[in-house]
Amino acid sequence: MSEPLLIANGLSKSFGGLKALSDVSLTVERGEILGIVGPNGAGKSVLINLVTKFYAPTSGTLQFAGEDATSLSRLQMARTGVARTFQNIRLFKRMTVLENVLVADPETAVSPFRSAVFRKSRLDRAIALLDLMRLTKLADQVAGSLPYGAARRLEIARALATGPKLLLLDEPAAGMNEEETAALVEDIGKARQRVDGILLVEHDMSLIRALSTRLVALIAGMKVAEGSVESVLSDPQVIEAYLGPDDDAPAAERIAA
Amino acid sequence: MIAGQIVNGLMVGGLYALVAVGLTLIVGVLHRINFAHTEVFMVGGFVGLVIAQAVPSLPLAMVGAFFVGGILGIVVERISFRNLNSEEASITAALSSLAVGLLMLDLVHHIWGTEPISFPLVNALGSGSFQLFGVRFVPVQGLVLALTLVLVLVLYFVIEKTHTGRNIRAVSDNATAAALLGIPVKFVGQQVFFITSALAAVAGLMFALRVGTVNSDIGITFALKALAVIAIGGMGNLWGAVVGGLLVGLMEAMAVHFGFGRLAELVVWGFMIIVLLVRPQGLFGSVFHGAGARA
Amino acid sequence: MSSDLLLLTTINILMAWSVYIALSAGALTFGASAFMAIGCYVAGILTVKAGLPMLPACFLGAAASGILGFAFGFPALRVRGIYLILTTLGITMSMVVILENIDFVGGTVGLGGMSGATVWHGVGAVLVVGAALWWVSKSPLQRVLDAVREDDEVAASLGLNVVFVKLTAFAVGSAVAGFAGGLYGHYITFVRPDAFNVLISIYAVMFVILGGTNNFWGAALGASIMTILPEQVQVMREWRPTVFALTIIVLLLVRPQGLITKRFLTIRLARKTS
Repeated sequence: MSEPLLIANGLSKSFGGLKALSDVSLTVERGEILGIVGPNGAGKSVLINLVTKFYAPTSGTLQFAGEDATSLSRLQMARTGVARTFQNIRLFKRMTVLENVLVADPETAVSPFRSAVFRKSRLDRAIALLDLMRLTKLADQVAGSLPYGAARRLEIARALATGPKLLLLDEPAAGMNEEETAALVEDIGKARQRVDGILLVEHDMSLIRALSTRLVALIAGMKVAEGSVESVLSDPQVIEAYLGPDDDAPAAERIAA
Repeated sequence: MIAGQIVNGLMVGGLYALVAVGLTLIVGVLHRINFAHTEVFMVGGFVGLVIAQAVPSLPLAMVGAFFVGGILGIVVERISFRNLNSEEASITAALSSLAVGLLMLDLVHHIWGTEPISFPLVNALGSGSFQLFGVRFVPVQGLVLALTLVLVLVLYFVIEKTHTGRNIRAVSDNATAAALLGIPVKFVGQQVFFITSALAAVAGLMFALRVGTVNSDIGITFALKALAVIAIGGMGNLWGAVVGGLLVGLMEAMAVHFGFGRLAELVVWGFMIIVLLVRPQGLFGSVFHGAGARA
Repeated sequence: MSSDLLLLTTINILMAWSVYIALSAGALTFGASAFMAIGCYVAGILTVKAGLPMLPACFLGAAASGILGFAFGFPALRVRGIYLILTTLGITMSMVVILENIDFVGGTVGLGGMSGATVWHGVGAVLVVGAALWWVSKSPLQRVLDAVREDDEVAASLGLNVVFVKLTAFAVGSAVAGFAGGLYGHYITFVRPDAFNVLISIYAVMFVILGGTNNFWGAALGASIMTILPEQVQVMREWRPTVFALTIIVLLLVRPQGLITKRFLTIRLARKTS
């Protein structure tokens, strides 16, 4: 039995007086897709930011692939095998789709100056990733002019290009319609084969249900439920948080939809 | 005499403060750096020169400098700072104001040449000195110190207690929200530029009075240090600019007193660099403005 | 066009490129003047007091600038944006004062006795640096620079060593300014510290702003225009700072991205697979 990919223990984050995350502990096991659900402001993005060191935790520890990761920098986290996408899409808008994927190649990223002299880049690898995310036709298009769905796929492709063990997806279905979301399920399924584990923060229940092997629910910065998808989504606290303090069965079914 | 040096340092610091207050206010309210500010300071002396050559009256020269400075401020605002929107625009605005400053410098050079010109009102305050608390003052030092105090207090009063000040503070917090509340953001911007530039020009006149000459160099050789002052005091922080200015003036005076001579200049910039590294939000700054500082 | 003017143009192009190189990693600095001074003085000392030939002295001057660029850059690049501008301004202002206080290099009186720079040195330098920039622009390094410049937080999260990239770009830019300084000194034969004032740094930045910040041709174009054009028109020659300032002001209002805005792609899939 191999050790979990990611262990977060007692993670807390305060901004001034505001407690965004309180004492959250969770694990991501190898091979699983851990879904994180919760209403807006629950701290889901804060969690991703803490794991990827965009924020420093106020308290708590992190372990990644068996090693202590609490004091690693953003760069170090990336290099040990953690990659992420962004809720508000942060592509390199002035570069093309292909360039976005190429720049994330560890060979280039780790030795940028040597790569200038030897001018090698692993084009095949990049093209394979573009094919995977159905982006090949858009390879030479400037990332800033991509349609929304393609931009999200590029974020995933770029994150995959770093060859990560753990992929963190921050609301990848935000702003997508049903058709796009269904396609995204497939795309993430393909991505899953390339990594050891995925942490999926998402609002869209259909995506969560289709992909998550396990679920964690965050409300107001605290973990309130953890377990199988069904058990978490039928937890009364979770239902109440999403729909207000109403206890009718039809409401529960609405989450299930 | 160390006491004399201290007085001088405070006076110079007061002038730094007058320039820095303007710079920091524009950072605080409009989130921009006005690089033309230092040249408006320089122009103040020349305005005083023009007036003094016609009518040898110091009060008139000060009033003239005040208003011409204010108008120049509005011109700078119109040219360089109209777009208040994006983050990128702040670099564009800064560079544009830099160019406007350069323009002012060249115009002054063409009209008055590059050599310092003797300032006719240099003896307007009399040539005697007076004693206060056992320290010898020269009248202009007293005037500058008093004026700095008065102007800063007036500025504080305007910002904290008046309607205009309330608008300025609202725009400073959130320009979009202020606009939605019906506050004329563009007009507030103009007001801020007028006030700050007017003060800078008066400070430039004071400087000319103290030194006895009007000099086109002083924007770069003197007022530019106000940039260091606002970084030290905290960008956007009024008291930081005042205390920072006085502190810098004192530091320079002490450096001179202890024999550093021209290296006193280094003290200012070196101190600024240290502050930026150790406490990027400045001595008085809140983390908000300094937040963008750390890479 | 006189060879003097051409040499000056090449020196200005190098200065513009020094700003451009750091800017290509996202660091807008006003320190070009300080590093030009270092290169000039180091090269000058080596030729005047140690008898070295000009070219090796200039290279050593460039190396000194580069090393000091690394040293200054390390703390300086901890801050960004306007704070970096202020820090590099501080370095520029301080450099003049420091040099004025070093009697070994002549203090305020200055350093003289340098000679030997010809227009061919300038042209050669431009060709070499230009070729290097062209080489980089087609390489994976360009993508790294663009990523760091556009969004260095995301770049770090992808495993790019942002600090190292910025620092190296800053140091290389400083070295180029240093070489330009060496050439300048050996052309003009006598320098004083106040020749390396803040206006030099400001002009260097403005060359790049004018020409366009997205590729190295822009910087060269901006420097060339602002050096050559005023010489052709009498009025412009006398009013050079005004003309320059007005150009920048109008440009920033009308076309803030500069004259040449094209970002040249580093790679095109279509071409590769056809």
